[in-house]
Amino acid sequence: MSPITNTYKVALIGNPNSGKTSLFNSLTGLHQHVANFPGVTVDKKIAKYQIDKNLTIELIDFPGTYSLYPNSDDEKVVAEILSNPVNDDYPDSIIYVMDPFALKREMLLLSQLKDLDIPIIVVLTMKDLIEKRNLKIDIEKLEKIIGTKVIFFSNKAKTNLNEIREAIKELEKGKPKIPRSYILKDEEKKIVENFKDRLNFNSDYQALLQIHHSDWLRYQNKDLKKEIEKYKIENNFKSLSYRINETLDRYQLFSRDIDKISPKKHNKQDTITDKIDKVITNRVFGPIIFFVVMLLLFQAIFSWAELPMELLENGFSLLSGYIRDNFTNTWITGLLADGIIPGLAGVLVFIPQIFLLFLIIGILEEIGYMSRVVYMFDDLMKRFGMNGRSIIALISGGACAVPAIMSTRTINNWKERLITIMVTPLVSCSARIPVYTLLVVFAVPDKDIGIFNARGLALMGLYILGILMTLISSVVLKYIIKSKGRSYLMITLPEYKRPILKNIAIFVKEKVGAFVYVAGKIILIVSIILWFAASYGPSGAMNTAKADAIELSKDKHFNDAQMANLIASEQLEHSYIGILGKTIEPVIKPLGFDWKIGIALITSFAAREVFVGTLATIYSVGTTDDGMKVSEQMAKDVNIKTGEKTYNQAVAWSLLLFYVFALQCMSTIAVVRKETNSWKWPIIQFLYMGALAYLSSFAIYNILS
Amino acid sequence: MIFEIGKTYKIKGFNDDEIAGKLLTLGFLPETSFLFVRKSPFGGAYYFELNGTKIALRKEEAHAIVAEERF
Ligand SMILES: Nc1nc2c(ncn2[C@@H]2O[C@H](COP(=O)(O)OP(=O)(O)OP(=O)(O)O)[C@@H](O)[C@H]2O)c(=O)[nH]1
Repeated sequence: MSPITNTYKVALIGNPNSGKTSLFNSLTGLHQHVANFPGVTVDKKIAKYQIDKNLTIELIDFPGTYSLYPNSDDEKVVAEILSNPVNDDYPDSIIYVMDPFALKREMLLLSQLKDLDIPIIVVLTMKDLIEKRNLKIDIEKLEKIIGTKVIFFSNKAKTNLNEIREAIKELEKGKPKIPRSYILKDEEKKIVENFKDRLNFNSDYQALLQIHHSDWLRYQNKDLKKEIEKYKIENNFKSLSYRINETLDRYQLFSRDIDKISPKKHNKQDTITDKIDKVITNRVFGPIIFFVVMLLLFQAIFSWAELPMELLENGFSLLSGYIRDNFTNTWITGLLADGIIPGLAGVLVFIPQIFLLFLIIGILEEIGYMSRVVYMFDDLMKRFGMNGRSIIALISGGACAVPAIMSTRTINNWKERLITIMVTPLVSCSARIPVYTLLVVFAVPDKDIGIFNARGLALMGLYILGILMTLISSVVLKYIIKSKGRSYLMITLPEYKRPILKNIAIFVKEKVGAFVYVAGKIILIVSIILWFAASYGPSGAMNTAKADAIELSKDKHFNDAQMANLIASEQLEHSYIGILGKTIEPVIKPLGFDWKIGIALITSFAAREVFVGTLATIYSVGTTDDGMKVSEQMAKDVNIKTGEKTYNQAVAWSLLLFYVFALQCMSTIAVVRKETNSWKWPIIQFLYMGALAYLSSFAIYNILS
Repeated sequence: MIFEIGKTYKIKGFNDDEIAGKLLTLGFLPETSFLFVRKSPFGGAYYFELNGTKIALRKEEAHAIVAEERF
């Protein structure tokens, strides 16, 4: 049946919130081998899944959609792939996932899928909820109406998982006949007939889809697009009217039968969701509750994460110290103890914060709160040129701009989406946390103002500054960017459900995993290069530096330890990286930064958190004091010749503001390039954020010093 | 068309094809009834209940629905 070289591809398709992702998780489990990291390359999630010894399938989780006539880019993925039989991800069969509480609406997409000539089985989810509420659905009748196998399943109890596996195996063995739903009208038949030699399709309806979507499908060539367009005009073929009529006809086909078997809500009685929404989406309490939830989120990142972070930090410095003390001093131990370990530690210490952030976001998503937020603030966001859905991007931006920017695909209007993409990186992401935490020590004294800690308040202030600038920039962009097409809210608000813990676990695991993987990889490379560039230099220069340092030490009557430190720091200054830092020093001097900070600015362009790792490496190489934390080394850093401290209040504030605004993140630039499909927007974004950073640093430095 | 909170309406048609196309896929069908539950905090979005599911629409989207009140 399926050729040996190709794996058997099974697509999970359904309306948003029908339980697709839960089913994907139920089938593949916590140890799933997901081929691509969501939030990095994703339009869809793919996993290889072994059903039994003889059959491995490729399971593809598609974005949720209401029909094959998509509203947003996110939904377009489904129509783009399912209308094109030669696409790499074109499935061999479909598992259609259905929520029993919205049967009629969900029958629409199913009826379209049935006309594609792809084998289908239906999995009806939420069996546990139907049973708990003493409702009934006649599965046999449903099978008759639909014409395919229907499996009633609970992603909570997972009792009949085997039944689904068996059904997939059956599908793979032979193609069951799927009854067609919709019969094309004469004009539709005519247009399909007209282009049938130029299109690649398995069913007439599939060809019709290609014709309807001709204006945006990426796989269709330009000449064909022009001809289809011409035909539509000449024959007065109005795609939109045909689509509307087709939709109405389809509903006609099943509405009456489906109404008979749909589970009925007990009349007039408020459900739990009604009761909760009365409070949570209340015009007054709604926004207040949202505000409290956001405060809790911050509280979690800042205070609950503190202890595990400190433990990790101490653990890493112990490890570095241990390696230095217990192994002979070769370049490898140097690279490990002064390069790789401090570099990695700089990033890995904020796993606790990122974990907590995604955990809370994951829970809010899973119980169904996020779509309420979208509904409540849509009109407010519109004033800033955005969409209610932008809020989800902005909140996730607090964790990481990359998945946040990808999530804007659900916004159908290009202008609203572009503005969201352009301003999201101004929300302080978790990668700024270590930079802030490190520098705020030098910017603000450790005292209390009322019941609050001054440093805590300063951190809060930096976040608020980022949010303010997000809003200001969006208003400016609103007047600059031209609008294309209409914009919509139209969002279904799912029922509140007790979360499936495994879903949250997998969500958090994926996000934290992607962070560690991507950031860790960059940092590993950067810290290795950095260590070499800091430890070696043009050989003559390094020796002269050493000789000069010895000379100077004798003049100043330094003791041995002081002399060793001076040698190390003079050598660093004349190493390759020192030369680079010195070169850019004139540009950053007005902001109060010296060449060492310059190095960190350059390397942290890869990712902000590299800043801490870089300083850690620089100070480890540049001194002989071992096993100290970065902040201790920074506090001790003085310009040996003038005796002034490098990190005074003005410099610290200047750096802080720089990191609030600057787009110091390669991954963000890459994802913006991908999502906007041009270099124009990432470049504009880099420049405007860079200008904001430079000017505000310049201002604060000159005010404070 | 202007809707009042707490009232139930029966859909008769739409006055905007593009919005109609999208509303249909969400289940806003002719002869179907829906309840206007509440407005958003700033008044620009409406919370509806239709066939037991909850759906939020912008004011302008809702105004594309032609409906009559059901008593
Ligand atoms: N009780 C119960 N809840 C379920 C079941 N299946 C899914 N859910 C819940 O339904 C909600 C939506 O499930 P998802 O799996 O995220 O739905 P989806 O179709 O992937 O949604 P999108 O990714 O938005 O398209 C989540 O809150 C799940 O916990 C089920 O069988 N029983």
